[in-house]
Amino acid sequence: MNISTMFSTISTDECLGYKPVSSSTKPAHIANGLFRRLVGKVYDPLLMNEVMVHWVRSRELNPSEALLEKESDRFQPFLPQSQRQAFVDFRADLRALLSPFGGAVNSGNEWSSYNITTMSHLTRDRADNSVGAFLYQLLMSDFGEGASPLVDVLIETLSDTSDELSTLTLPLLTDVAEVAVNISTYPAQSVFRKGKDGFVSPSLRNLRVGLDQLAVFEQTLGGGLDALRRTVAFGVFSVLVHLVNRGRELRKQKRMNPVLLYFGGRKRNTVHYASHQTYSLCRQSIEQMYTAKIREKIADRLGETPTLKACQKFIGEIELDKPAEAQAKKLEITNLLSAYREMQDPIDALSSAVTDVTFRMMSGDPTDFYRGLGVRIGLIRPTGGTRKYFTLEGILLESVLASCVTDAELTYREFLDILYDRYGLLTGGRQQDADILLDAGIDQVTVEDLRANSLSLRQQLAATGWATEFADGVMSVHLPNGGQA
Amino acid sequence: MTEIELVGDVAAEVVGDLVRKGATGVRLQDITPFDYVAFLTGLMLIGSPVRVILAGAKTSEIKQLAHRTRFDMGSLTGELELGTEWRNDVSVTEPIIMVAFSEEERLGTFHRFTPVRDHNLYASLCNRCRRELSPNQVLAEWWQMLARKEVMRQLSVRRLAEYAVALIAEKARLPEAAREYLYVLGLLPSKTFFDQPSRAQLGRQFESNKALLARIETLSSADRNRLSKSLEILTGNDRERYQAIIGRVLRYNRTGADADRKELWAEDVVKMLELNRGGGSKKGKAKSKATVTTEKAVTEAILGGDGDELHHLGERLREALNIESGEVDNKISIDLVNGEGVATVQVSSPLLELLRRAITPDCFGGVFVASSVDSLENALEDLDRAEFKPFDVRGEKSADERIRSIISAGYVSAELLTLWEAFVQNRALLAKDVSAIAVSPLLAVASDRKLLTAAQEYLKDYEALLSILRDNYEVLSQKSPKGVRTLSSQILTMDVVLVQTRTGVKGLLSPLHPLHLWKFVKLAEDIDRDKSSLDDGYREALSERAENLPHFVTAIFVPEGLISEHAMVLPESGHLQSLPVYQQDDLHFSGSDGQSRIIRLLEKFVALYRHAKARLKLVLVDPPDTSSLLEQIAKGIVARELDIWSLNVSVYRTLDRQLNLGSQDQQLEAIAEVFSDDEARAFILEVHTEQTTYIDIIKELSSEPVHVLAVFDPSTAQVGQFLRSNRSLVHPLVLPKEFRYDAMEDELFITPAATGGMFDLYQSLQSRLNNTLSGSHFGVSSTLGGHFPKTGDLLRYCTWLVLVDRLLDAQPIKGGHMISYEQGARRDLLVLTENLTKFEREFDYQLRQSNFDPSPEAVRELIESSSELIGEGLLGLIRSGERGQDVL
Repeated sequence: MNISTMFSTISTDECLGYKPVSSSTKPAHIANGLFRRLVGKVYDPLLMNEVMVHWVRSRELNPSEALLEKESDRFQPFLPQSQRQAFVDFRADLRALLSPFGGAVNSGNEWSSYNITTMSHLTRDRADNSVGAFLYQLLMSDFGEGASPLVDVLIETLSDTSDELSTLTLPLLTDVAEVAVNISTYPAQSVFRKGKDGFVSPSLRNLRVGLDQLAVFEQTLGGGLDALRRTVAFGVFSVLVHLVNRGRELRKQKRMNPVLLYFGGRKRNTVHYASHQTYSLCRQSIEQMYTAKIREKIADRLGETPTLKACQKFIGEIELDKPAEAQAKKLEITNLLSAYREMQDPIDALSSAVTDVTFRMMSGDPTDFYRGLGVRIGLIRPTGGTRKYFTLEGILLESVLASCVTDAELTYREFLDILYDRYGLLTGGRQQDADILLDAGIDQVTVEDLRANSLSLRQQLAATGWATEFADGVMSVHLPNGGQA
Repeated sequence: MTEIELVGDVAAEVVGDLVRKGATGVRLQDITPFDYVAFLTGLMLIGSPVRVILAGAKTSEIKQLAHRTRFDMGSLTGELELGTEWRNDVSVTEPIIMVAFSEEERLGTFHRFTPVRDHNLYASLCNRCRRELSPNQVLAEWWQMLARKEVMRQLSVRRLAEYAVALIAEKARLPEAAREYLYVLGLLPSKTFFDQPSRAQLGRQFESNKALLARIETLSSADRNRLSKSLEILTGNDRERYQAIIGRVLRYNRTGADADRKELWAEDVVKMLELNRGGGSKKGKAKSKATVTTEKAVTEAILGGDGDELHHLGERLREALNIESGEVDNKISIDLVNGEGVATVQVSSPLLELLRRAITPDCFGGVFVASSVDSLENALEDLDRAEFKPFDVRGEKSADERIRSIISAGYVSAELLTLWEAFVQNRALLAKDVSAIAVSPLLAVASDRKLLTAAQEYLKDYEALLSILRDNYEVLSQKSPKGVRTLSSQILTMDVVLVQTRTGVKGLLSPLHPLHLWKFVKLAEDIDRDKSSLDDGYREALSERAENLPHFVTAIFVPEGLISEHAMVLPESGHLQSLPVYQQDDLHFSGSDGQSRIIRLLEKFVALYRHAKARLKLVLVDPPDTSSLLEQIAKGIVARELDIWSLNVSVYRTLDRQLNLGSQDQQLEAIAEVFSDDEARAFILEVHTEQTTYIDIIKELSSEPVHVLAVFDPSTAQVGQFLRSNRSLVHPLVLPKEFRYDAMEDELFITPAATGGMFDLYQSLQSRLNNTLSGSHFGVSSTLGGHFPKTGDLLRYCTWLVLVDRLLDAQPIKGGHMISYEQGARRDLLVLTENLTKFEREFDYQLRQSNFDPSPEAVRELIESSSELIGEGLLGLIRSGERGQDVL
């Protein structure tokens, strides 16, 4: 048994349909992967890439002089010597605008993703590790009424070049090469299995409802580049919600993994610590999914109650991609087996040991992937030490709100119910929030702090026009401007 | 008794207190749910009748509760409507108690009732436990520690009650139970937790236990490696036991379950995480350090003759810096193989980007024109936008071409060309490793024998090159006055990077600048050569100082024509990584060096003046990095290292240097953790960002004196041409200073200056270019005079005056007694006080304890001589005692 192959099979074919293995995956990579599938085309905006990629380390990869000479017609205003600095500034500005935060633009388009504003920016970059395909399936699945209405919104926005950013890049995109994208069958068929009410997976079912609702919002109040931003934020959020709940669903657990949002600002209280505990739960949930799957595979080979000797023999037969490391890694698994064996059955101990070593062999394991993306969309906030907390703010808060709120006004309580029922998000505003946390083993939080936390969210909603607070303390959550554009 | 019963009973006690104080309505809302029976039973003990609304409870439940508790049925309801009627009915004179665990309509109508919150229950529970569950002083302190606000923010009422219930059940063996049941509080059980009895020490135990727990909850790659290695090296009888502990740690990381935590004793966990540390040490010495800088680690490796460690450190550093993606982490951590712990180094990616572009085998540095930005930092962040004019090694009008032409013309001997080519060749080798040399220079040169040899040759060639140029300058200037000037300028600006911003020119020495690289090469040579003859004290001093070596080029000369028509001198103003930075506009050193020593001073102050803990007043004037200093103070308070109950900090600005709290969330969060507004207003921070004067600050202080006044960089600085007074050789650890006293003005000017060897040659060439006297050099001099008030005047309004500045060792001090003087690489620190009574009394006491009978004059003389002790002076005698006593 090759453990890298086993990990890939579990990720790609059985549980997720993609490989969550890199902590460097950025929302822009995922957006690129999703949009190119929706549009069905990729482009190679080579000139735009050359203009943006000026220096690579110590090498001036695309000197301004050479670009001006090669594309003298296109860069006519920059040709006079006095305009050289303006051209350098233009290049740097373009990079600042179109290169995702943290960098996803490299030399050439093979491994470049941009802050996409129009379809000509789409590339064949595979750094999304097929996460784009996951979102594509989520949007395109047909339950009798066709694909999600969000698809049309996105294609329409991507076809429009009238926004400032697209207009700025248009002269660089006139002769881009267009290539059709082949949409292959989704590798993990079980993920998007359908039932009579939609997806069998409760988390996917809820996320699809959210995406469809987001489409309604975009059609009436949103649209434009902000529609793309909200969709990407909510799309990545969907990936994270699914990733932490997938293991539970495979174990047939009904409740969502609780994610406690913290809005308390800089003065930490028990909610801050509890939010970190829910982050640990999410991380553990991902690990447990892999451990359970690895256990299944070991059981297929050794049965449910293997002897210690059989486990050791199994370790001896494990294959690794790097033969030079094989001996050391097998020894590590053996040692871990001994450690876990003190409190677990041999099969559980072995599966825990194999999961540990498999994760450690990767430069970024699935929990790093979860953390990296969570931090990038603003769902997870680091606090300096090892602790982190969940929160919602900015464009992500807006997209989650847009995915929950319809024309009909909701009471604040109903809104909180939707947040938890659909996405597992807790704020502490409901009496049962404390009970849900308690059930999950999180009891280091006081009700007083939970209520104060929820109050902060209430204030944010009221301040941003998403809610109105009446004199009797009742709050109504609604679309901004009463749903009028 | 269950925990919800205990909380119910405590809630009744809190309500009882309020009723006795005259509350007519009490509201328990948004609160940890508790047991109604225990609550009602407790209320009946108040001694006066009350009416109770249990919002949302059904009539049948109310009846049942009344029956079980014998509470008056007529005074108990679940209906808010009836409760509202009671409230409005003037004939109802009993206090009304309203309890609502869930949101109910009409709750708002009770908003004027006195609220009872979780924190009231928490505090009351701690009080009760202190009374009933404290058979000894340690546990009494423990409950008081748990009642602290910052602890309260981390523990829930439910957990605290659960802990109390567990202890009540084990009352016969309370001390043991208190340790075992720590897991209920979300801590690791610990055998040694209560070994240190003071509240502050218990607070530290609490924090370190929490930190250990957070560590195993997340388990970094380094910790996983450690556990894995521990498993490999386990042998003997304890093998199984330790294996089980590691298994539990890993399992707890997976589950976070109470049941797993219950079995994890803190001492065992620490042992497992530390087991493989030092196991392979050649000397087998147990050391206690965990994280060191790479420069310190490499110094210790050289001193220990540990070639493997040197090689390993160098290899890991280069691996981390040469990531293909170019995304280098901000901090590189390297596990030491033979020593203990981790070596770390901070990395500035934008700076590396600049160096990779400007410092290559073919490029000697250059000028970045970033006219749209104000600061060097902004220019680095947006380097693509800057226009770069490289100092090419070869090509038209390059130094190379000029050297070749003067040789072919026969003006100088061909030896110059041989030297030049060797110099360029050795530099090319170094340039390939510029990132490592920039990030951790001592490690880079010491870990690679070839590189060290190249660097040694490079420095020799440079010195010889300067020597030939100086000796032939007059001859060459007769042949080609312009040519020799330009060539000399090119040699002097080699490996200098200039950045032209909107606010002026900033300069940076490249890691390969010979006068910068010299100190690392020399230090590596010296330590390696003398390691066997050095005593422990010197070894320790070496490893301490190696990470913070002085910069020997205190000002750089920018020849005319390069940036502007006139030549310029840029004084040193700070540093980036290990590289000195120079700029025109601010003559004060901008780095934060020396600043963190304030924390230790505050610890000493409250140890000596214990009453100040109740309200310490601190004024900071011109701190170079306000947010980082406040962050350190806040962290010290939270971690109990700085034992202060209340603190008032005011920050003022007299210099042009801006004061701001920055925008780093982590820093701001740490500061807000302590200083954000709370009811008690125990910690107050006032930052006065507008520029003021020392006179105005004295006026402020005169109305409200403070305990500690810390003034940063009060000296005035000026750039100029100074005559060298001696020609002694410099040592890499020390930057010599020159002193000049102006008797007419009664001012002492102090100028740091490196002399001897290539420094003299370099300065000589500079002098020629500047048409000034040979034997002089450019530098920055400082003096504490003019605008700065007499120290005696300041000491009228503060107990301790702390001056933090460079070159304080010979500044004229007018008033006050020096109690401490510490030298630093960039800033010295001086502590003055007017009042030595505390010291006199303690000295007198200690001497009498040793059967002496000192006169007051003798004690004072002893104090004065002790203040000149190297290091902390008199402050070195202040220590925190073992049992919370502070002793001299």
